[in-house]
Amino acid sequence: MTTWEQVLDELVRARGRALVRYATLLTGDEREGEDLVQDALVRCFSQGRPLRDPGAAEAYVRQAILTIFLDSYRRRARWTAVRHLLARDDDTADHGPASTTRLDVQTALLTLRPRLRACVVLRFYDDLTVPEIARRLAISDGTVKRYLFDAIGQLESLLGPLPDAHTIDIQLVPTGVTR
Amino acid sequence: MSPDLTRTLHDAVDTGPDDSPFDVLTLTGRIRRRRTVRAGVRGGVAVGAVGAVALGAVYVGGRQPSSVLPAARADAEPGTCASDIGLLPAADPGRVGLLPSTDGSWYQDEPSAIPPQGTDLGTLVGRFMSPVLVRELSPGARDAAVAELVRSANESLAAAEERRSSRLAAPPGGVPLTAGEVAALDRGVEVARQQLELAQTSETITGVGDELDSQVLVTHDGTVVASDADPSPDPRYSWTSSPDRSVVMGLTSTELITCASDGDPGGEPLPAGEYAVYVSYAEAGGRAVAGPWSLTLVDMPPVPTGFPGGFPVDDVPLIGGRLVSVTPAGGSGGEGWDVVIAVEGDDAAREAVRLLDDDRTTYPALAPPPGMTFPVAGWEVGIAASTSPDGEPTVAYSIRRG
Repeated sequence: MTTWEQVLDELVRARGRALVRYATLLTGDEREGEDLVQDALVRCFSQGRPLRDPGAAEAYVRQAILTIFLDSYRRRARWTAVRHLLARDDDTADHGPASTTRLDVQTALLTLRPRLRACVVLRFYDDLTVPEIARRLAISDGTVKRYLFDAIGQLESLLGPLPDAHTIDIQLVPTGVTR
Repeated sequence: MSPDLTRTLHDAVDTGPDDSPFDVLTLTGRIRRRRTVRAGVRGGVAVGAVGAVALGAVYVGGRQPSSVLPAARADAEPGTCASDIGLLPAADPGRVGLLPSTDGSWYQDEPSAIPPQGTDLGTLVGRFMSPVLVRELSPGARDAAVAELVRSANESLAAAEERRSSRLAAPPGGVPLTAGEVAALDRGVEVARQQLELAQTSETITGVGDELDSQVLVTHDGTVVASDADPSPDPRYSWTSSPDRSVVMGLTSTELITCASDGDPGGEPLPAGEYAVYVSYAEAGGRAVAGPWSLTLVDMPPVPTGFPGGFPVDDVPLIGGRLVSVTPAGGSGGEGWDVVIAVEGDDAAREAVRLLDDDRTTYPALAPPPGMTFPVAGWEVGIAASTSPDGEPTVAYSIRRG
C-alpha cells in the first residue's frame, strides 16, 4: 500500500463520517453529502500532491468539498436548490442521537443561499477569520462581512438570538458617511 | 435558550458514529485510475516536448502488463474478477450479442437477429467502450413495457387536458387568454393524444430494465480482467426494440480498467493487447455466457513535437500520434490553428475530447457531434475524426480564440 493509500484509508475510516456530516451541512442531503465527499477525495488524492498526514489531508478535502459544492450549485437547475428549502428528507437525520437544537440549526442553514451557507460553515465550523474566508471563496473581505451579516440575521429570525455569532470582525462599517 | 452556533455546528460534524461511510477499496481504485491516466498524459507531454521517439505503455505508467492484470484465481466465483471464463456455460445460440457502435448508432442487416459471436469490436486507444447490447425480449417483458408506455402517455394526456381546463377556467392574473395561448393549450392536448396513439400502435417500443441481468466481461487469456459491474450511469437499461419486438438494443458502458480482486482495488487501465469480450446473462437455474467478441487495445503514442512558435502547446492538451499538419488560421496564428494528428484507434476523436478535460462526461459516440467546440484555457477547440489522403486515421483539431 502506498503512502497516499494509507492516508486515504486512515482518513476515511477515522473521519469519513464526519466529512459526510460536514458536507451535509452544505447540501442538506446526506446522500448528496456522501457523493460530494467521494468526489472531493478523488480530486484531492488524484492530484499527485503529497498527502502524508491525515490531519492536513482532512483540511484539504474540506476545502475541496466547499469548492465542488459551490461549483456544482452554479450548474444546478433552480428547482433542485429550491427543493432543499422546502423539504428535508428523513434520511438526512443524523445516525446518532441528535438534539433539537442541532436539527433546528441545520434546518435553518438550508434556508440560506449556498454562498451564505458556505460562509457560515467556514466561519463557525472551520473557525476561519473574515480575510481567510475571503481568500478561500475568492471574494472581498467586505463581501464576506455582508454575507455573514445577512446570514446571521436570517438565522436569528428563525432561531432567535445567536450571541456567539456577533463578533467584532464582522461588524459592518457604514459606507458613504461623511464627517 | 439561544443556540450557540459554533458549538452546535461542531457537534453536528464531530459527534456521532465514526463508521466508515465508503468502500475504501472502490474509492482507491477510482483514484488510482485517475492518477494513472493523469500521469500518462503528463508523461506523454513531457516526453514529446524533448523530442523522444517512443514512449511505451503510457497508460500503465511503465508497469509491465502482467503486473497490472488480475492474476487468475481458481477459487474465484464464475463470472467474477480473476475467474476462468470457461466456468460459465456457453449457450448456443446465445440470447445476447454485441455490436460495435460508431457514432452512437448502429446497423445490422437483420434487425431481429442476435449478433453473431466472433466479430470484432474494434481497436481502441482510450480505455472506455460502448458496444451495443442486443438481447431477447420475452413476451412478459414486452407486454409490461407496452403497458408502462400507455400508462405514461395516459398520464401526460390527462395532465395536458387538466392544464387546458384550468387555464381556460381561471386565466393567470385574471387576464383572458389570447387566441395564441388557447391554440398552444390545444396543441399540447393534441400532441399528448398523438403520443398515446403512438404508444398503443407503434411497432418499435422503448423501455428500461434488463430481465437477463446482462453483464459485459472482458477477458485476457481466458481470465476475467474487467467488467461493467458498476457502470455509472448505466445506459444498458434504456433500450429500443426491433419492429417485431422480439429483440431489444441498447448502448452499454464499460470502463476498460482492471477489476477488483483479492484485496487489489483494481482500477488500472488495461494495457495494450488483444482481449476477448463476453456477455454473461441470467439463464434458467444460473448464468450463461455468450461470446467472445474480439477487442484490440493500443497504447497512446507520444504527443507530437515540432509546433511553430506561438502555438498553445501548454494550453491545449493534444492526443499523441504523428503530426500530419499544423496550419495557422487567418495567416498568423493569432486567430487560431488547425492541427491534424494521425493516430490509431476507432475512438481517437473521443479520446482527444477526454484529454481536454479529464472531468468531462464520457459519452458513447466515438467522436463528438459536428460543430461542437470545447472551451480550454481561453480557446474554443473543435475535434473531428478524419482520414489522411493516404487512408491513415486522423484527429483534426480546430483551435480558435475563445
